[in-house]
Amino acid sequence: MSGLVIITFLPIIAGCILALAPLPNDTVRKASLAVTLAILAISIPLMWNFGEAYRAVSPEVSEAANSPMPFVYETNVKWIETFNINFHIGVDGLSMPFVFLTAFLCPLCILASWGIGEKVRGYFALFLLLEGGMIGTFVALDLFLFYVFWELMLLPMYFLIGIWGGPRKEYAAIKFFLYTLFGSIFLFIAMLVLYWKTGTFSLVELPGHEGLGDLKWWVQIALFLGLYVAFAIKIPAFPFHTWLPDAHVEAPTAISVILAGILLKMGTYAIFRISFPIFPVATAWFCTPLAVLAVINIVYGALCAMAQTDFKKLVAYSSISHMGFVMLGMAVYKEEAMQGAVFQMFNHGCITAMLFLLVGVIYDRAHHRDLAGFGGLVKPMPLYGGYAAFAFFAALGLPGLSGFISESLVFLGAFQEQKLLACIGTLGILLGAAYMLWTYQRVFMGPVNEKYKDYKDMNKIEIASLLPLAVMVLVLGIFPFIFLDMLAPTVSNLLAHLHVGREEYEAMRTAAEQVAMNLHP
Amino acid sequence: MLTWLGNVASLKYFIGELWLALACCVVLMLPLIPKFRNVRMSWITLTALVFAGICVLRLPTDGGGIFFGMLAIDGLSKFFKIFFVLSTLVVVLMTEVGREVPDFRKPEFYSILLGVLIGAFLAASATDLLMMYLAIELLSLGSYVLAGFSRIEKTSDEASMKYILYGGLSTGAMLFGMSYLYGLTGSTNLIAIREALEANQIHPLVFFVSFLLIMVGIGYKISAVPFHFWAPDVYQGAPTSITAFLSVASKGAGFAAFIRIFYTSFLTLNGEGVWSPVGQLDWRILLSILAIVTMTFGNLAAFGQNNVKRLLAYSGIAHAGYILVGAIALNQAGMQSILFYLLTYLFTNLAAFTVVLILADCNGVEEIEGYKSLGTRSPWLAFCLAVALFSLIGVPPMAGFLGKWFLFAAAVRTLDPWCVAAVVAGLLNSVLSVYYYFRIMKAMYLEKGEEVGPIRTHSTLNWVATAMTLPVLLIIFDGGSLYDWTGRLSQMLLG
Repeated sequence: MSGLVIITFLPIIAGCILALAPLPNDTVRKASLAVTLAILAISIPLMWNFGEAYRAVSPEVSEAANSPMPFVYETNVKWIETFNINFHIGVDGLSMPFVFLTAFLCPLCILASWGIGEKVRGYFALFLLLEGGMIGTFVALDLFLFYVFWELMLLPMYFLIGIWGGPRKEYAAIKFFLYTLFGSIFLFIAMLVLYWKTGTFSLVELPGHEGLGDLKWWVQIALFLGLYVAFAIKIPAFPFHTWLPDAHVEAPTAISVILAGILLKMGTYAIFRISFPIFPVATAWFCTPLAVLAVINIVYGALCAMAQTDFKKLVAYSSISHMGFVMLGMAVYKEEAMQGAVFQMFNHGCITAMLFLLVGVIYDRAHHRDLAGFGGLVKPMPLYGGYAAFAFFAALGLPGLSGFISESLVFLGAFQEQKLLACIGTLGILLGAAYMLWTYQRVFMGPVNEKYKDYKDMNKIEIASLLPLAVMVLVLGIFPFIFLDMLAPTVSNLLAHLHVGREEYEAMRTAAEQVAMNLHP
Repeated sequence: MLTWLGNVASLKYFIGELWLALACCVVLMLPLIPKFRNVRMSWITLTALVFAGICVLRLPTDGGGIFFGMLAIDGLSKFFKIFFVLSTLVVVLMTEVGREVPDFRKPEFYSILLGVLIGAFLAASATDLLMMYLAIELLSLGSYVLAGFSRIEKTSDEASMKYILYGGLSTGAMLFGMSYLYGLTGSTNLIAIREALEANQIHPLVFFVSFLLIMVGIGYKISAVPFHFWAPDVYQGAPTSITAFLSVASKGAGFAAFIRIFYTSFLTLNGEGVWSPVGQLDWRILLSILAIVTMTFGNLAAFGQNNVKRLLAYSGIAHAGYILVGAIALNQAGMQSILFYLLTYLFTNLAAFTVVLILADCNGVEEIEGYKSLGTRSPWLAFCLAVALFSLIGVPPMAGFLGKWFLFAAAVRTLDPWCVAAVVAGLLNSVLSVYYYFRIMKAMYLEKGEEVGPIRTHSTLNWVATAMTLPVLLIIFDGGSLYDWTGRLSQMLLG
């Protein structure tokens, strides 16, 4: 049995066992930590050997456009034969980093949840179920399987926000659920149409499938837009972002980390995995609007973040802004930009996770998150101030930390294609620096607030949950090629497919313009 | 032309019904003998059901027409008979343990229930208009009595009264429609009717009227809008076990009759598993509208309900709408998916109703208010109900998701604009329905009630709830085999 199958089902099975076995609370915490660590332990060798394994199956650069996208660690078992649905999983350079990210973040989140005291068994069982759903979504190579895992994540998420969340938890939980379910409608319909056109759900066979050749252009575009809505809700892209601040503010710390660190990436990952390869022509049609939306996300998210008085809401809006960079990198057909986009997804996962964990640290002590209510926290909590400074600088893109590399890669590509939009987009970096530094000033600098002068610094568990992230951010900031080398072949394969679609689209456009010219000379 | 089996030769295919009829009499008569007064009639009923189930399982799927073409022994009738036996088994268990029906009245209850079951059996296999009418009447008459079984409860009386008035009117309308059909074609046999419709020039208006009137009768049975008015009151007022029976078996019988009449008489099957209407009457549009209206109305009306039984009644209306989407696909896949959906609906709904029964019967709670903090009071029951609700919404990995998936897949396959519209409406409605299903979910898990400590329950009912929940959870793993099985059973006798 391959490692991927184990890490997909281990958390689900462990979650079910935890839910049923009447164990004491402390055992439950330790058991779930052990399970998540085991998953991490399995995923490390997978990640380590990935580059070599992938290069072995990857086609020559000149052949890339005509050969199917390769995958490694594949498992393919028949599931529902009548509909040609298979249990098909595997990874490539797009999904492997996120499988690893999930495995990496989950133990840290378990540590951050150590203080959960109410219905402990239920919490950790649901958390493990969620981890299984997330890994499953990233490894699924069958559209139907993808859909099942995609929705499977909703159920634990609803309860995790709804039961263990803040004061308006019920509203936030149902809003999250309804938004995502509404988006899934489009995914559902697109799946059916694709299936009746091609007879397969396989994400390996669907790109460039001959059955799709005779799809009318407007059907392609409609399907693409439908899929985009489904995925944009998860990213969340403007104007589908309104669920995010609510969900983040109400969710418990660890769940915010998962939400920002992994769930948001699913939106962009799904566009990379499904929309782009299957509809390369519609992608070419949509790339400019996508870039515009990306820039709106960047600037609008940053402006909103600046206006917040709630620490957590600020971080939530900064996520929207940072996901804008990812979308911009996706939209411009440049190798460096696309690598930057994937890298930014990973980095944002680590950096935002740090930010949310830091918010959690202070919330556990002060029980509020009002930015105006703090001040001078560096004095009583020097270690906390240090970690916060590190995370804030990482978030605003300080050179030497990983966020800088990915953002510059994105802009490096974007400037070649969309000069104006890229220029506006850089505003986001400026605004990001502004709100981050301003926040740091309000919370950590200035005169010490009398109320908080006796606060204890971070304890061991809190440090243990932050330190690995900080190391990851620093290491990837200095040696980004570890990561970029791994995903480069996949990105160039994908781009080769996309360029073919773009040429086809350009040809269609020229032909249409020719016709228009002939009609109205 | 088929050759029909004669009366005596037919009997070997009719043993299941005979068993049930025998048990029906025994259960009613036996308590009259003083010596047997205290025998638990549920055992006899259950034994008869198991025997009938075994007989049904041994039926062939290609037995042809029996009793001179009155009944069909085919896959479709076999499927529905299994479906009815399963649901009745659960209902008997629910009644026996519950306290809604006092012990001394249980013999008559079971007797009537078995009679209703025979009616449902006949409705699943009738290939003759008269037989179909009699079967539906047998089914309905018993149901009227069962719905009003808690005589002391005013709501139960009201339920029975409403049910009988609506039932009388709509079956009357159906009979009238059938008489038109007889007038048009000169036959009451469904296959002969189709042949006549194909061969002769039929007056379209008369045919349309007869179609509409028959649809009234069917729509009433499956509780489609606008023939649904009885459902909420009857579901709320009837004993919970009977509500469960009506929501599953009776609805199933409605769909059996629907498929039997419409697919045999009003459609012709071509070689590729696609059906097309006969007699220049394209009723697909009409049914699409009916489906869309039914599901939308059911969901919207459920929003304001506080009584869980009533809420599930509206949810049942909405689900009738979803199932109709499979019917308008007019292909073999559509029919197959209706059967699959009904099967998942059986487990899902019975799981939900078992929990509802435990709360209503053992704890006197029917309002959503009373479900507060059920998640901590009785985690397992809350889990069963939560699984059932997720399945009703159609969220993976529950069985309801696969059911909806197959239904909508069959409809999208036609690429007919009306079908696609109905699918889109169905999906939007699934999202709508989240709102009211989640009101229960919210009460169970998110809100704190005043009462604490585990709720009173009965171990048999816990087991029933478990037995109904597990398939809902597990079907996803091998949904393909079950789907293929319904495919084998979706073959019907078409002449």
